[in-house]
Amino acid sequence: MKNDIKRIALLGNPNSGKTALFNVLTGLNQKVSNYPGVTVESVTGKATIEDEICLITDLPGTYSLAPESQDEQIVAEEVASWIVNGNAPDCVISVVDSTNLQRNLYLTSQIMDLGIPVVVALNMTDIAKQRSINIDSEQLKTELGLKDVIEISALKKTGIVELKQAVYRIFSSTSIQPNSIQIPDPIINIVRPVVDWFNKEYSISDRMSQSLALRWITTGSLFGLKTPNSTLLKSTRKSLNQIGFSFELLEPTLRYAWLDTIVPKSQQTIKTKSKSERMDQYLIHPIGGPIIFVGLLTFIFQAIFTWASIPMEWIDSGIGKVGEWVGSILPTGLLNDLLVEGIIGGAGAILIFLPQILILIFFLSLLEDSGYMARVAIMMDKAMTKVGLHGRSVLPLMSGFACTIPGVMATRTIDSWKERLITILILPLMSCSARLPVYTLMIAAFIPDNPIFGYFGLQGLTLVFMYFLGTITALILALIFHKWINIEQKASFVMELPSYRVPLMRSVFQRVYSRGAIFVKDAGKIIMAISIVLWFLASFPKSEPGETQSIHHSYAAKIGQTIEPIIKPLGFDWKIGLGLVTSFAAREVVVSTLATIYNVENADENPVPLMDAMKRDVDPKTGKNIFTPLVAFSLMIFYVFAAQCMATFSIVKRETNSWKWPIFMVIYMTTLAYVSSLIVYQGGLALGFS
Amino acid sequence: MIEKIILIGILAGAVAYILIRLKNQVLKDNSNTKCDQCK
Repeated sequence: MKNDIKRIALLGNPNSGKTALFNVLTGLNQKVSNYPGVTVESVTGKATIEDEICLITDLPGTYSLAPESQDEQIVAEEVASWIVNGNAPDCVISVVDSTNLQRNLYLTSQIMDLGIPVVVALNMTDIAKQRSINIDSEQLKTELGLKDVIEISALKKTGIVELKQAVYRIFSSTSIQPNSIQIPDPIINIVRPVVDWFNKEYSISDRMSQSLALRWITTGSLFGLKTPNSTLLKSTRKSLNQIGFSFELLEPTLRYAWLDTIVPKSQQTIKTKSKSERMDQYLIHPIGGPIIFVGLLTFIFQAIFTWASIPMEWIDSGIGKVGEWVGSILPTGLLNDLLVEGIIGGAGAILIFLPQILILIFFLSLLEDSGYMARVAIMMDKAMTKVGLHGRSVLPLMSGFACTIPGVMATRTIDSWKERLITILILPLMSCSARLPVYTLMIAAFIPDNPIFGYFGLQGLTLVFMYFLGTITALILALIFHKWINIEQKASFVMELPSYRVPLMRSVFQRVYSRGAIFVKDAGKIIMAISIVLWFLASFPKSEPGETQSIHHSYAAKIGQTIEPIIKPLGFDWKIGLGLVTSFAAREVVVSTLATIYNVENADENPVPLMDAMKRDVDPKTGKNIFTPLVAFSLMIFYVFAAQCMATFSIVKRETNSWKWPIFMVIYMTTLAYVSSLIVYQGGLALGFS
Repeated sequence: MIEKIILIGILAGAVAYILIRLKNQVLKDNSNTKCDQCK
């Protein structure tokens, strides 16, 4: 049943700027970037169009209504539901990338056939002009037979008022858009029985039935819609072949034939080599390209160390001062200890790593928004093919450096199920930002800050090593999984290279801010909750009067000591063991766990600097240091491979629609982590490291 | 005594929060599952 609120759908090709427009219209902050496939699920928001509240849905980008991958399938299914349930939106805004008019209008022509009022938003006309592409929007409007073709820039927020006015005019209009593609008589005679079938089945217009018939004859399927029997399909295709028409190209041929008559009348192009093409000569050069890419990553990881050190010191001393102040104003007692040792000392310890995470997100956003990440996908295609994947897997894998979850979601753009599954299985090996606090804590405490090649130091290079170790292992495992997983696949990789753009700093900082806000909020919730429970476990039972209170007799120690025999061969004691358990909630919780335990243990100097406490912690039985460079290295290796993230487990279950794959993932990753750490620690001991 | 009650309240709240979160993330097939790093 339709209600009074007007509904608008945003449809367009990948990377045409739909989500940027959605954000402008709704005031929301959905992720936008400069590569195809950023939006992989539909999102709805509210917008005001000329005083009227409307619901706007941003759908994933698609090149056509005949889907190739899962994100495109979402669009096809949505459109099918409009036909089946008769709940089509009141207006579709067809977002068109002006730099590639003809290909974008292919989808527009399919949308126009649906009989829903369409407004074309001609996006990125500024970039088109820079490339000597001049589009006459008035002429285009006439040729398409639409009421409105509006030039906009979603990023610069120009043309938005005109677009809203056009949408409002559509709401009050009743006229139908004229026919689009012209189907020659010999073809229409052959496809007529199919057209009639759709007409009868769905009681839809002749034009829409023709459109569905063409798509069904071309692809052999229609997502979310009933289709005629296969005998009719075979006979229709055979008849088309008899008149010399290839059925696989039926719809594209007819639509492009129509667009070939329209686009040249509306667009003037002077072919010059664009700035992007000139830059690509160097940036995707077969030899120079990978060198530049590795250099960029090394620079980023070194910058994480160098640039973050000063703000980290500020936060560290700030937390210390807050701890001292809270400790001084509250009366001595358990509540005072809980606040200072558990909450401020434990959860506060994780906040120190905020600047490093923000710097990582900042650089990753710059690489994505500039259009460089899409080039990385192209460059890596050859290497990925060798391990049974394609360049399309690169973007999800790279976004795994920030967080595995959006990476897993982004695999929806991969059309082959086998390739998608392998990408999902190896994604958690890409070191996410939650591992950063673990790496940098261990590196800062136990790896000397020796300069190696001028700007680059040993600490930065160790961090680079951890990231590359995860990545290389992921690729090796992809090869193994490719041979082992027995699923037939159709594989293809065609990706449009977006133009290089100067990243919009507002969008970059928005992403950095939202990630930072989540990190801080997280410290305020799950990390704090775990720190509180840990503080209790580490502080009780209290010793008898006259005995010295020792953490080694606490409940936490008892739990940790139960795990200790399993992890002792890796060089880990019960405190680290406890951290391994708690970090299943989120990897960085291991840092706050260690901080809470050391704060309880060193109750006389709260909050205790974590690094100092780790360096001076000794085994009460042997008198040897608990943490050594070898233990730190073993722990980092463990965290490169271990599957400690509930949220990843959950999203993999959802995206693979089975328990089998997430369980397999946890088993293989935990085994890999244990065996690698064991080899590193025992090998290190055998080589004489301590 | 009041201090003990406050402490037990805080502990119970923390445990409850962890359990609810566990339930939401693993047991329930929550279509809006997102990790703490990327909500």
